[in-house]
Amino acid sequence: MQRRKGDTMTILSTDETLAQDKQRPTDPIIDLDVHETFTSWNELLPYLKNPWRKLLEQGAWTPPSFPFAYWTGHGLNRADSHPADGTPAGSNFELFREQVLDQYPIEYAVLTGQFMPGDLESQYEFASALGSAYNDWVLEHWVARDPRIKTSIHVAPQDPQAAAREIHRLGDHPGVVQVMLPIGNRAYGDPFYHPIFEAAQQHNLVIAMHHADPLRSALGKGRYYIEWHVNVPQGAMSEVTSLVINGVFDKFPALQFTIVESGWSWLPHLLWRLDQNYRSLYHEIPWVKQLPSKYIRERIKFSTQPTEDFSAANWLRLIEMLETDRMLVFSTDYPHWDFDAPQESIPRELPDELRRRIFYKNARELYGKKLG
Amino acid sequence: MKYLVGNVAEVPRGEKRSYKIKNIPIVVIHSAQDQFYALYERCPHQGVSLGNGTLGGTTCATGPGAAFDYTREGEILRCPWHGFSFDVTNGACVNAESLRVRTYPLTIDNSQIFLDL
Ligand code: FES
Repeated sequence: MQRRKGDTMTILSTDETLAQDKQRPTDPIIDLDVHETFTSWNELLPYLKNPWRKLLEQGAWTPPSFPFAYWTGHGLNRADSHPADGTPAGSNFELFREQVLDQYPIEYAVLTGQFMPGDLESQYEFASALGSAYNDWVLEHWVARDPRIKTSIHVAPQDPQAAAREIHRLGDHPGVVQVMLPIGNRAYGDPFYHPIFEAAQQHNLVIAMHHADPLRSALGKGRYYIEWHVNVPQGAMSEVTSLVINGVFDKFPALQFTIVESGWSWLPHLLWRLDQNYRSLYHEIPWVKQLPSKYIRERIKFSTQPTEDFSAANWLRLIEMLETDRMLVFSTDYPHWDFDAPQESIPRELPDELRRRIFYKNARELYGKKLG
Repeated sequence: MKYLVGNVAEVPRGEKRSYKIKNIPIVVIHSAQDQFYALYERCPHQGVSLGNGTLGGTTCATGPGAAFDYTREGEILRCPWHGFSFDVTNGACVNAESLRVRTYPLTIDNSQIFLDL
């Protein structure tokens, strides 16, 4: 890998990119973020009971939509991820297997979905029913097809009791490793959402959080897509703060969390600021028993994607500031446009043991026996 | 040394096509202005095939609310993954000076495309 002095970006020379054809990473990888989807909502019909099924059949419902156009040149997804038959990117299992599972040494890939029932702002029962149908569809059409695939339970967090019922229904399925909560307009530390954590803890499931379309920055959605996209980590920072401040880690001592696709280079700032405020203001939150940074280091993992093209030296500086190599886990984000290829997104100059931690060991420890 | 790539008819105006010449992946672009260009076909960012990218133009506007213009149609190749923009006339990555793809001289002789290596 060639790095010019002063560059912040990884630059592959012609010879190196040529060599990539033969050179694939050999250490195993766990990919924490694959966005599978269906070809149309009608695929959910066999998994929906009435009255919900009729709502879809009658065309009585319009799914919520994202307000921005994508300016990548090829839309939301990698240009090469669109199936030849015109079906949506991420809907073709064989293409996913070719472009991810068989392309890299993926030991496990964790599905995270594209539809999030939490995006529905009203009619909570319908949101929960769609979530259940989607979960059953994924288990049958994706998880059952390859032992390397594990998945998330999608719930409607706006109805925590219904979400807990869904977690109890599927929580012990061998293909399920986590519960997915969308980062949008809810701060999950609020005790209102704790039934979800209670249920997840009972089934030894991780709580994964991933940004969703309703997400806003502190100042709103912004005028441009790039503005919205750059500000995505603000949602993650707010969720981490909310979990700490509301005492979630002591109330659910066995629960582990992941923050997916919000990057991680902002973490040292958040750890320092939380600790500094905690020392001065802990009287307001006496149920929080230890420094926030300690909870976060021990209980939350952060996926590396989207990597920000900074140098290996800066990776090492940041990890030193985190004071642990146990917080980072790898994800591709397939098939989205900001996909990270394993070898090219994680600098090869990083120490081998650190790379093994990022690509595999940290995720393996996170999911434990759930991976079999 | 000149190597035969193919016939000009294989790359219609406004389109691109990938080839492997002497084991080097290249993408040949036939611009809307009827010019031919050859670029190394792998993106210098994360190494994906630029042949799967999108050939288009670039935007111009002086500020928020100003009129948008779209220029250089067919001269900007967008990477199929992260959408970086490469100027097909010189291989430069637009707005990222440290990134560049190699360009190769082409000649057209009797409707045949030849690459200089
Ligand atoms: S691989 Fe081409 S822009 Fe990232």
